[in-house]
Amino acid sequence: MKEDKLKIKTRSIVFVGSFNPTIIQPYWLALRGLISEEDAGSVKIDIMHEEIVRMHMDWLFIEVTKQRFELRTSQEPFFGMCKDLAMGIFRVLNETPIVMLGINHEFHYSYSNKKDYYDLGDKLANLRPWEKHLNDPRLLQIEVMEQKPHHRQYNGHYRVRVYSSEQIKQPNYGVGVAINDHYALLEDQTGRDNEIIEILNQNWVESGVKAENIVLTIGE
Amino acid sequence: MKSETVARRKFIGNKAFSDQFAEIRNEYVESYLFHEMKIRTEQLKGLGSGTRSGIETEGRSYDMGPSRKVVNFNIPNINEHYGFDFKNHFTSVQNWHGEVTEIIESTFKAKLIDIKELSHIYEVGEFEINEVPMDDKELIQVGATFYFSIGYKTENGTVMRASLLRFQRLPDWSCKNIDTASDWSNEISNDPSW
Repeated sequence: MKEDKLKIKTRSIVFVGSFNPTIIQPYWLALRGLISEEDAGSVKIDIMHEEIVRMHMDWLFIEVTKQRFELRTSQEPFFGMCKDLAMGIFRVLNETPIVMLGINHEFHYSYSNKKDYYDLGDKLANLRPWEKHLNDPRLLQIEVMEQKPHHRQYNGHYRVRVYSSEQIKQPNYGVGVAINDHYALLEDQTGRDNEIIEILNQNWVESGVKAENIVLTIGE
Repeated sequence: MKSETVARRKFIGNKAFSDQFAEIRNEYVESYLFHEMKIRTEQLKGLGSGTRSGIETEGRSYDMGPSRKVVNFNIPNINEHYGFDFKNHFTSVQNWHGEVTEIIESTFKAKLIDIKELSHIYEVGEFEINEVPMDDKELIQVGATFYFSIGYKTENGTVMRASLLRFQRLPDWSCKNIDTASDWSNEISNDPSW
């Protein structure tokens, strides 16, 4: 898909494990030097409860439950800082068991031409066979995945979903691409030795480049 | 509770007992509330207030009667996925990862690696210290790393060209990491599968 049609790009990091949500507070993050005091002061807390903490600031959204930890940003210059913050938090809380990681990439494209928009759906999934049964068939969503190669030091999969995006407003047509780069520990790993944090560190750049390459060439 | 007992006795055996009892009970509650409010208003008059505003600004305690105003909280529905704010976003045209090499008075020089290009070739840039956010200024030192991006920032529908410079806050990110990233990017850019 052409880069000039790209309007919104987001990146999120999701950990699955066992967390204590109430530890994650703005001034705790600032005290540990993980965010600036100015950022800490600008945090808006949506909810703070022993089961869930949800807060956001200009460039970051954080949601922590007892099983799931998510950091997300829609500001590309902060993608790296989002990863640094995730790694910083779990280097401080280094005994937190984490068993899964998702590096998620989301792209929203705006199409002004209706034909191009429908043609993209046709390219991604051949609609000809459907024409026997449906009148003017259209693609709403398609999802493709691969398993991570077995020779790697972790399990996981890579999933790409292309769908009709509601983030792009009429009269334009929106196409969203959501990519889930998922990592899980091997059976003999406990998740208490920062294995997931190392996986994040080692795969962050590669994951981003792969996602960029996919969206650039998809539908060509 | 005494009035309820009287009412119950009075209507025992009557088919419309429940309806009539409910009506009397409502009257009783209203009368109680009115009575209590009157007392409170009179107390306030004694204090020179003369309005109910004194009650409204009073802190709520759990043993207060039903006449107190209940405070409503906007509690988010935690089962719903958070409606992420897509009105404000920044899409970069170019992103660099920089490392400070020299500080000269009000400027600093840095080695810059283009993150998107995946190249081991670096550029050299010079930045005004004033361009650095106030809280990040204390992080400026030789060897410190930062992110520098130029692109389009959208704020509430308004698109503007912008640049952003933020210093990295991960304590153990060092030149070694940059070199490792650089080696890796060099390796991958030579891989024909890309």
